[in-house]
Amino acid sequence: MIFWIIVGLVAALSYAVQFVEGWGEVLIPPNAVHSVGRLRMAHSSVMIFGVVVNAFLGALSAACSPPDRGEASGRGAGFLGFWILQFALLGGVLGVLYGEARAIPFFELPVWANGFLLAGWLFAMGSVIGAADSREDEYVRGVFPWAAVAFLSGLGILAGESAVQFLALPQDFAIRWIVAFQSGLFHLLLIPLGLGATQYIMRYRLPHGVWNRWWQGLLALLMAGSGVLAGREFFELEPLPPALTLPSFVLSSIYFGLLLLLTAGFALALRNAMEERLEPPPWMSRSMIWFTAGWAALAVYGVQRFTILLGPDFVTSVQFTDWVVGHHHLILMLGLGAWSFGLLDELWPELRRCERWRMPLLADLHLILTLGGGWAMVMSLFVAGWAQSGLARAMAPWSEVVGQSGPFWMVRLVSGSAIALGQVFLLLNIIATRDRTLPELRKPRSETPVDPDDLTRDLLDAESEGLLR
Amino acid sequence: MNALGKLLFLLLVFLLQAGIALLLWDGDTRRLERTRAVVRSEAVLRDILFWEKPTRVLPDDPMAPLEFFDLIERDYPAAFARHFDIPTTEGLAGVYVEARDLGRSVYVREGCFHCHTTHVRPDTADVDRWGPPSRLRPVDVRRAGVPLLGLRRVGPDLANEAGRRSNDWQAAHLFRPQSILKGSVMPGYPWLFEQVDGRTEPTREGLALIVFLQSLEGGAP
Repeated sequence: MIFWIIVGLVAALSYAVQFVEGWGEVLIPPNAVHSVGRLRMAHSSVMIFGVVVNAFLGALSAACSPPDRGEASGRGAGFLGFWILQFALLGGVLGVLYGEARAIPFFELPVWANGFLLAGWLFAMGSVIGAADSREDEYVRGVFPWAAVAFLSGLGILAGESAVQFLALPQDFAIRWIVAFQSGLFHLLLIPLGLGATQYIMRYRLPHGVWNRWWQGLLALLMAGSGVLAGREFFELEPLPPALTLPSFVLSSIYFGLLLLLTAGFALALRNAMEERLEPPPWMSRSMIWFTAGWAALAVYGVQRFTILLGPDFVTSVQFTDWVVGHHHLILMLGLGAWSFGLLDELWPELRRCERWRMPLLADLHLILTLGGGWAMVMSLFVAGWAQSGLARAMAPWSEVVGQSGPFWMVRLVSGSAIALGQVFLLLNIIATRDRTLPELRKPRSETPVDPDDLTRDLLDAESEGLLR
Repeated sequence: MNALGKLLFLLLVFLLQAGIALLLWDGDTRRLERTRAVVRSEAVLRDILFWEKPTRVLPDDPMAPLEFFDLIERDYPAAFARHFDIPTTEGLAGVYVEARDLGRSVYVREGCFHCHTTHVRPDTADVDRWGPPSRLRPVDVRRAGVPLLGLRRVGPDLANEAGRRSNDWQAAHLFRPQSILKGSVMPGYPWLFEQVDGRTEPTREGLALIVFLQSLEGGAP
């Protein structure tokens, strides 16, 4: 994940620099591999498959493994799945840079990568099923349904991609398939992954009631349904037919109400979970900020989706402007990205048997730079979109439309640099926290609550370190 | 006091609704303003946008734009003959389709569709600026490739690019956009050109991309 973050950000900054008055040409002469279009495709593929998918697969794998980190079924499948996915992505990105791209936004990887991604996905799925099978307890039963829904949706997306590529479908049907079907499946893939991951972090201690899996399932389904309709409306050729207007409005109204309810429920649940885990409970821990920020992004995203379905005027205003790019960054970077970092924030010190990060200040700076830079970037893209839309509709000369976008692109470059700096801090902290020889950072065993799972883990650790003689 | 509160609440809701209605309203007045703006702006006049472009029927199936014949007969005959096999007039249709499809793959490969759309949405202000609305065709994806709608417009829409500019303009613009349009943010594509006898000429892929751009009418093929 960290490797791909660095690769993705280097690609993004390289093409952002080229946008601002051709600065890129000063640093590196124009060449095919370094061109804006190819770097742009490499960036989105890396961020989706390399960062978000890896983060969630890693988290699910850890979540469903036995608590003693011992042998679990499906480890071989997990190993294979991991390396197939990484090599397919690496090969795919190199393929894009050397001119093998295809034209579906966000799935620009070469056609041959599809089969490998599908295989890697299946192996990863097998490993999580195997791991969960080795650990039959209530906690896994809470996380696993989400993993299953997410895996099946991912399978649907990859299979759909292959179908569009290899079957002799007509173009007009293919675009409807890509836009509507995948928009729906994406929600069924990503939202359950996020929900499963947050449950894992909170150790399945979240109180039932508002925050239970049936409500969450309903939310995910409604999101998928409204995703299909909004995707169709937004990218489609014509406004929704009248027969679909009312259902889409009703569906997104219910979805919107549920989202607000669940966001409030989530905040309360986080608070309760923290009270159970820590004494005294922090007013707001760093991982809570990450997860709350992710939910806030999801809420803003939901409001936008609702607005899309309100009227075709909004759609036609923002369509084909920077607003679209802001919309994608909002959900992928500030929603799913924040959840991924929240997972990492909780998981990494624990996996290294440390009580906390080696350098908490760097962890704080990582949070501030990523969220601050992320929101600045997304807002600049939204405002740029509105400005472009207004100027285009007023029939301003195109040079003026592009010229007026310049300051927003500069904000994006600066905020992107801030995000990149944040990731450098994260990398440094990861390397530092990995150092297990620092005795002061070892988890104080005496303060660990007596829990059969933790006891087993400690015993196994002690055995492996030769302390039990 | 309670009644006053309810009244204020209703007023607020009414104002909110009126605001939304005003925002969404797209009546005749705004249409008129838009038409006037078209005349004031540098956009191509509507008559030209909707002008039916001249084509020549090739011996086989497709209708090629006149720019294709300019390209092979006047602009870059030597380069075209070097890179494409044109045995007889009978084979011209095949060469046109070959060049256009190769150009499409170059367009995809270079990620052009990230900054240029090839889709004019019907019943919107897009039509005034970019010309006739696009329609997706029920053609085979395996033969024609996945559809190219585009994502956003950093550069202009290219759905009706055919015949708007000459082949020379396209070539110079692809080589170095800033030499044609001062302040353009589009990157140059010098790797689509080669030096032949002291002249800079498009490569096979460069020629194909120009043919593809000159074939865009009503959306991407």
